[in-house]
Amino acid sequence: MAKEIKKLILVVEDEPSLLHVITHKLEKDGFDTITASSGEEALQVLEKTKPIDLIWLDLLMPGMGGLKFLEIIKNNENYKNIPVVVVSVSAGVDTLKKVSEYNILEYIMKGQTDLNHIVERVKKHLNSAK
Amino acid sequence: MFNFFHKNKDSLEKRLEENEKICLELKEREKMFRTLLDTTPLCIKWFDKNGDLISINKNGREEHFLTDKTDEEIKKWNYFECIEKRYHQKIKDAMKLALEKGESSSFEIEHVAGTSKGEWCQSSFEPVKNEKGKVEYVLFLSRDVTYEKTKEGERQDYLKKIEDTKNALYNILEDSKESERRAQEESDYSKAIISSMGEGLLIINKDYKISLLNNKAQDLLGVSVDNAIGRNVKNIITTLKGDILLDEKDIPVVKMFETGQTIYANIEDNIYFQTSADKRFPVGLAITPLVENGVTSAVVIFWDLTEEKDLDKAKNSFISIVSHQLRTPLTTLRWVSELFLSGDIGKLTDKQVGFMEDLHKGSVRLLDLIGALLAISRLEAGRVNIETEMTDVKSITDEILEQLKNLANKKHLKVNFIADPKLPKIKLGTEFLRQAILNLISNSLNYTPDGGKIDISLKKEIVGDKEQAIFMIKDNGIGIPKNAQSKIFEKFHRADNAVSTVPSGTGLGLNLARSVVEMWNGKIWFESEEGKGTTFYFTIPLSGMQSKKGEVGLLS
Repeated sequence: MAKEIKKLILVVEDEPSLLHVITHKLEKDGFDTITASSGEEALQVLEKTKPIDLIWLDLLMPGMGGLKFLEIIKNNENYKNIPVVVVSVSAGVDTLKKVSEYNILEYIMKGQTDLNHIVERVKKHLNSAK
Repeated sequence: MFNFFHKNKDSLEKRLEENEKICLELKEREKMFRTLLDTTPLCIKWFDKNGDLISINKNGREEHFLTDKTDEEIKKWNYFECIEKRYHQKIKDAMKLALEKGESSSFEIEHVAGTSKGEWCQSSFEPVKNEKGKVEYVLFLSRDVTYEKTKEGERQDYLKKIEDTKNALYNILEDSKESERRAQEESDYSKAIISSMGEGLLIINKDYKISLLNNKAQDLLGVSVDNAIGRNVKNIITTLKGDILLDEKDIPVVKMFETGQTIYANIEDNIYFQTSADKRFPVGLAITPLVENGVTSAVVIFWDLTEEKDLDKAKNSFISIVSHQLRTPLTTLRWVSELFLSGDIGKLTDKQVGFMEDLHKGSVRLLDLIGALLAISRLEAGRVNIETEMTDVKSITDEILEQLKNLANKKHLKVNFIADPKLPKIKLGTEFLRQAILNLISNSLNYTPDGGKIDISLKKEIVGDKEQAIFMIKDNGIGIPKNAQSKIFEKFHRADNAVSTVPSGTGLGLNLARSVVEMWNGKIWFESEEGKGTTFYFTIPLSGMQSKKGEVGLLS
């Protein structure tokens, strides 16, 4: 029987404690994870690591924010088809609008949702992607 | 002997003739005197040389009501009885003077009331002397001077009245001069205040024409007295709430004339004035009625809130930043505790589970609070972006009921929802509607004890010429105590019975619901009785809400 390949999720989040808990949960629930704390770091990871099955993206990050990163990958042939789930706290309406212009799976509000719930959504998206 | 007799007979006869003549003369004289005595208007009493009363003449008897008395009775009459006591000594002295010295004297006396026809008498004692100069009789003559006295008295009274009136008039004149002076002082003082006050002052009559505006008002509105006085204030100032033009009936001055009550607006009411020069600025308002001679005018005091609004904006960005800084570590708390609770970090003992749950609940509660605060501060700052779409209010309500299903079931609450199927979709910001309904339903679920009943209805109604949807939610929960009812929409205000039922409530739900309902010009109100239950209502005009460009979403 072929060994079930775990899905690889790139978690882009600048807050270390959140990164910690998110990756722990994802791994507990059967995913592999790789992390990045900024937009630039995430791009580097993308170049080096393939295939990424899903990107968990926080928007509010210093330096290259999540939106800029999103813009870049969606304009990149190699990356534009990677499913993205945006999990963020606040964003201005313009940001929201722009985000929705890109093909993302979902925008989830960090402060209002249980982690379990987000992970369930991720699972759902990945299962339907199969 | 015979000759003596004859000679004497002639002289005797002569003598008798003489006597008869004298007798007749005396009789004539007596008749004259009698007539004089009886016809004189004087009152004449005459006394013998001992001072005893002999008689009183006809007029005297009439004067003293003695006409039916006999002469003997008159002699015994005490004439002092009819004279006021204070004159008695004078009379005695005068009598003595007349009897002993033969001197006459005169003076005024007053009669005792009821003893005489007249009140005042001019009286005199006249002694009557014989040829030897000795006083044989004393005459006491009295002339009634009541009339003259009264008239004089009246005249004196009249003169005094004139004098008093004159004095009173002088006083009044003095007083009114003083009042005038003080009124002038007050007027000057008021004028000074009005012209120097840092707020704009307008006085507007019932036709909305401006009758007064001070310097500050001229500054703020960019008009001068000449081109403002007498003009309709609505042509000079356009009143807005945020960016939205106010309906005639919602304009604060109109409201004041309508209700006769003082109207206030502060920074939270989001009122703006726009002048004909297209200058737009946020204002604080105080409008009071002024009634003069039954006519009501409006005294409008307004001030520029631009600086406060800027501060507010700065504060709001600050709030946004801070809320983000708060939310991130709180999310960590929430998710980590969640991880513990789902056993993803090893098995927990029962005790550990308990504490973890507390951590989790606490973090959720704080996050909810921050979210609500953020939404409210954004709504108030007018920063919220409004994206509208045709919204099915019934299906939003269904979704929320589904979302809160577990809570309802846990408390065995019976929830009924009836919606008018003919209610059309309404152009709304869905997020906004959700907030209003979510907060109201959550409240009912939280504040209704186990086994309670909640009825929700959604109907269409026509009020005047406006069609609107009316949402009603009725519970048989703890109700809102009377002393909390007037404050229930205030931020953070929680009734005592609510605090004991749900200790961790934010006190922001109704404030947010109201802000949201007002965004689509709806109305929100309630009926409640402590211990019996609460019914909340809000309306949505079928015309919905306008899209508006803003910087942020309601909750994001």
